[in-house]
Amino acid sequence: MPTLLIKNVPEELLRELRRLKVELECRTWAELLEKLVKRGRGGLLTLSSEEERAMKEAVGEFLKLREVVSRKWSGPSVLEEFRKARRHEG
Amino acid sequence: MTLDANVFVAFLKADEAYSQECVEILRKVPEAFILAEPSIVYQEVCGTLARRVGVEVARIAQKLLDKLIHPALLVECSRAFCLSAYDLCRRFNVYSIDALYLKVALDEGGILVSLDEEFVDRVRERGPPIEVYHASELPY
Repeated sequence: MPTLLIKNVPEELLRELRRLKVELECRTWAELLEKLVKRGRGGLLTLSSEEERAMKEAVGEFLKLREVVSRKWSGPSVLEEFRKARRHEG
Repeated sequence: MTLDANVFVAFLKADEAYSQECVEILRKVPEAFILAEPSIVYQEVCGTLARRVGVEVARIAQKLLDKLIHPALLVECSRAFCLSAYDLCRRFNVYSIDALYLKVALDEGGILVSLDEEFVDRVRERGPPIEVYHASELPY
């Protein structure tokens, strides 16, 4: 495996890299680099036409679920349910 | 864009306040927005549906979430992620689970949308570097 030596890394950047290494659970700097590269690609995410179609279909299928959910839902409003579940309210 | 789980469920419950607004938001996916979500959204959406409607409906919703959220933008709620998110509870005075959605939105530099006005207000009060909206007021 090749070795990468990086000189003149600013202190602030190094601190951020150390934080990310812990946060992203990387055992090595090479692992961190790999994850950051993948993340960077994620930031420029381009959907394939298939993925785009699947998302549109999912929205349509979600709409179809509205009837059954609305009919069968028993209990409080959605907001009340979530606030209780997250313990915002007693 | 990061949608609070309550937006997905309000979308599904037609007689819920702001349900139609939630429909309009989700209809903009993927042309106008792509979703970035913490993985807890599965538990919150499917768990709520399982409890209030039934497990079968929850399973359908699970499959739809799989299609709706690109794997690259689904953030696992791992130990490391939770450790990186909990200080937001203090910084923004929000509850623990709310902080997970906020963290994803902050990390992705996206837009955060929730049905919970109190959550939205608390975040806004502290001047976040992202846009935060109640489901009824998304301007896009």
